[in-house]
Amino acid sequence: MFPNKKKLRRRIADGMAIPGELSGALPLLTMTGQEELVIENYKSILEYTDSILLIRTKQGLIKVEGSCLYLSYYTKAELKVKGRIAAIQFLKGGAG
Amino acid sequence: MIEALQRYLKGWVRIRLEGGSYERFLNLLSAKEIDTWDLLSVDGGYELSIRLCDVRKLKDIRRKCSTRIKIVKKSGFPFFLHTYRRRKFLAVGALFGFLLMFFLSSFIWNIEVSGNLGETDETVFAYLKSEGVFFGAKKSTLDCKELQAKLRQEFPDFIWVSARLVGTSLFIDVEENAITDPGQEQLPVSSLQAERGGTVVSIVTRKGTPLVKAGDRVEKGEILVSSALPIYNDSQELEKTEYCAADADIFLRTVYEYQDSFPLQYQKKVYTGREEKDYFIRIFNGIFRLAHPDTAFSDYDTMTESHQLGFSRYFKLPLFVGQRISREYRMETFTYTGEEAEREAARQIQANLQKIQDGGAEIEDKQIEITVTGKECRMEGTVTLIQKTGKRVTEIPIEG
Repeated sequence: MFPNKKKLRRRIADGMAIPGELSGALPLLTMTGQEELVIENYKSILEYTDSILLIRTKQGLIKVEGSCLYLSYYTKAELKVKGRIAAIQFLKGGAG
Repeated sequence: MIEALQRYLKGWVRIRLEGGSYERFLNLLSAKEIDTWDLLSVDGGYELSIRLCDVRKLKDIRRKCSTRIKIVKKSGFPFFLHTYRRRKFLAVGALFGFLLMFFLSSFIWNIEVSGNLGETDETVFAYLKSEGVFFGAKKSTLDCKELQAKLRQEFPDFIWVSARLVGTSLFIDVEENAITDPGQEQLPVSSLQAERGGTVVSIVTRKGTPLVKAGDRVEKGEILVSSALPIYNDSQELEKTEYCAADADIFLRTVYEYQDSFPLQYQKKVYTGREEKDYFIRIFNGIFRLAHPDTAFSDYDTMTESHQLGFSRYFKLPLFVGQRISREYRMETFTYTGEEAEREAARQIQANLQKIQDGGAEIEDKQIEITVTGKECRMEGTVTLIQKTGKRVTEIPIEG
């Protein structure tokens, strides 16, 4: 009935002024300096080494680059990556 | 911190992953709601920590990812119990220790008094003991408010008292009344009498009738200021006599004979340098000396140091450790030379005069001769002192 359910859901959420991270659509990134990054609302890890962390979210891929990266904690709801973060990229493709 | 404590209580392990698909492994961990932390990339694999209860869920994941899992560290209370499962008495001992500490914490093991100047600590402790507050008393029998009121009642000079119980220590802080002279209204009708004979140097009368003036020679027991206040009418006739508590500052000059002597031969302790140390533990009032034979010294001085154990100044225990040091000495006989005897005599004279001055007297003059004979050193002469006098003697007023 509705060709794009996701867009419709997003439009309803926006219309009701519900924040994107609460509606589950958008990832939430919280960064402290260049040493800590907390990511919520993700789907899975595609790649993880001490210099690259590639995460799939509902909106696309997030690539975290740096050095000495490690996951301080990793649960279904959120993960925290620590280390020397050099760059964060938002990539198209792989959105779920 | 609470999270770390929870992890410790439930137990956790650190595992190493080698081979297979790491990312798939991590995603499967997330799907099975297995929380991990401290995930690090190491040579040849990854290391991460998971809870002990999640270890059995790894079997399935390992099979799917073809990853080898090795446990590199185990930590937490379950492992502690497993390690000491054969040492049940350790748990019993720990429990007993805890109960003993809990029991001991219900008694008072330390009492400190501060702010007291007129009353000594020993006087206050003696009173506290009579009220059931002493080393080893139960805390439940102590009522701080009541104790404060009783201390104020027992010691009138204490204008403020605070008693507080912290841990196993009782702290008593007091403030004393600085004004000690009783008001004139409290004194009965009385005159001032000379406590010794001498010459009046100065007399300043505030109340009463002075019977002497500066320069007068007085004898011991003579009335210096009378309590009678004669009231005269306009014709200078005695109308009536009123009585009061005489009050005056009277200073007398008195000449004393000074006589003292000491023998030229004297004995003095000479320490040999040998000493013995002895350690002890005191529990409640019982002293247990660590194995040490009685000292072989025939003459010795003993110095004892002890230290009360506890977790802090507020939580003391009835446990003391200390050491006793015995220092051997020999009594040897020495003889003063003439010069040494004179020096010693001068020192003794100075010490005695200082005591007199500390007692409130002023030394106006001293004429003391030091004589050294064959066997002794004599100090003879006179000392002139100016001292305050005025002993209060109560009188019954004569009506009329």
